[in-house]
Amino acid sequence: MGDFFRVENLCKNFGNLLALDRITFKVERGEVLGLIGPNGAGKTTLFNVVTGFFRCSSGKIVFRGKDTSKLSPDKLAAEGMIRTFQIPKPFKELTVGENVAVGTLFNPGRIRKLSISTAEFVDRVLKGVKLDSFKDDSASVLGYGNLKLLELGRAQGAVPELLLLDEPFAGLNAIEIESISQILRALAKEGLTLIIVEHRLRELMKLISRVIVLYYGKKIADGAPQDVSRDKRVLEAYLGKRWASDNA
Amino acid sequence: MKTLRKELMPISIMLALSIGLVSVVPISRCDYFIIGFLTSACLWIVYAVSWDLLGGYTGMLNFGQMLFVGVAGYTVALIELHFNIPRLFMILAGVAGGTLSSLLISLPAFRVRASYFAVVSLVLPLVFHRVTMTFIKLFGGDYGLNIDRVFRREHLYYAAIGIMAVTVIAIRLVVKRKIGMALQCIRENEETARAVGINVGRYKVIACMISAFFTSLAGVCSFYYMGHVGPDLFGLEGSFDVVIMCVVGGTGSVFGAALGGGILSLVLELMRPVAEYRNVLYAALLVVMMMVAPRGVWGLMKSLFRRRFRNYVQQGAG
Repeated sequence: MGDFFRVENLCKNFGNLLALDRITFKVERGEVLGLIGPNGAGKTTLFNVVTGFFRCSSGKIVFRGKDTSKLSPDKLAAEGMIRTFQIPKPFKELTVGENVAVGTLFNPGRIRKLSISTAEFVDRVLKGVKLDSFKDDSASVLGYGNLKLLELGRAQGAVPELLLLDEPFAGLNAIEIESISQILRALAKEGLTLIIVEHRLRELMKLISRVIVLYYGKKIADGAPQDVSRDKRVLEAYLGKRWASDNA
Repeated sequence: MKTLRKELMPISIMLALSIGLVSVVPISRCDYFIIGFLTSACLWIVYAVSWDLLGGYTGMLNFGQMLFVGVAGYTVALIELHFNIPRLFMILAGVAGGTLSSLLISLPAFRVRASYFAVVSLVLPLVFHRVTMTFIKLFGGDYGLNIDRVFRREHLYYAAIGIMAVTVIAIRLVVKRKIGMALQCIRENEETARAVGINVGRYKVIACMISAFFTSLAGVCSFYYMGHVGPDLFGLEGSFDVVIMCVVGGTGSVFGAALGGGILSLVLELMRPVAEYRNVLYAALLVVMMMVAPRGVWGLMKSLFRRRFRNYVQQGAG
């Protein structure tokens, strides 16, 4: 079990456009990894490839010692790799509780390991994302902030081992971001491995232990947040050459 | 077993309805007009309820439900005419043929979204129509295939009642179980369904098979009742009737679909003298339904009941 999650020389091209160019990185169990980069850097593409929504052009993805680069999203979910979407995509006609329970229902193996009943587990997840008071309401009544929370709850319902979050803070105000940060911190404390794509760097940096920077499909930095934020290439990518040299 | 116990109410309703329908035979002194109407009503209900599993629960709009009826009918007819094997095997072959024909729609649409499924389901029956009209020697062209009566009409009526009751209960059980949850998730959002570990393609194919199975069963019954199967089954009219039934009754609900099937069978029968205005009336009915009750008669009944209940609760509290 040397490797929990590993990506090797991952490439993805759309026609002539190389969206991911030989990306290689590793994630240890229990790590909280940030994935950042300017618009169009390939963060979401990397997400979609890793979670099976896109097939990679070449390279290798290894999750818990198994090559998963050719698995479909539902197989990956069964392996314990669960993602959220930037724009919440709930099951609108189902209740909030059912939205969480679906993941549990279709991944019965992992819930058994936790040795608590599905109902208890769903209640715990709902309490964790502060939606327990909406349990029996249809998901269509939730506002945007609560939908973001539900997205998180729905993913947790599937009992993930590796949780990939696509911009969990997008479109939220400072208070809502703080509340989501708290939830994520609690998950990390439980030992869940997280990979977070985010644009809100200030809030993100407080959460993560390591960050990877993508720029035009290439990995340009990988390390502790404070080191990466002083990295010359990262500053150039975000600010442009002139600004970067002025500030250095 | 737990689900079965929870479904005690619908099962007993279906049982009571079946007994009532069976008793029509002695009461009407075996009036073939009434029996004929009720048989076709039962079969329409089967078509509607099976359609709803796809259209209402899974969000796969099937505009060719009668394809399964046609394939099942032609299969049985061809075997009846050309082979001499026990009739039970003929029926099984017909049901199997109809069920497998669903793969022709579901497999091409396997990877694509619901809208493409609708297109495939719309076009495929037309292909079959063409085929039956081209190979006239085998399929009889416009006349279709005809056989002599082999079952007594009242027996086929009992069979239709049985098929209806079994279909309604079976599909109720299907949608209340894990697979029903999967289908509803697929309807709500395919990508999210995948992301939580639902094998979307597999469940779609299974849903199509279940829907086609019950429809074929009813189709074989219909073939024996009429002693006839024709290319009109591959036309748009019958399949659209099924869709309209579900919209009128209420999609996404087994009882809604069944109610719609029942109501529209009656309307179809009453409209027989003015058959040429059928489409006009249907269109008007659809528009009215959309405006008054977008969730169908069943949805309307449910919300009315709920409102009354709420008023009652509020008065009680006040």
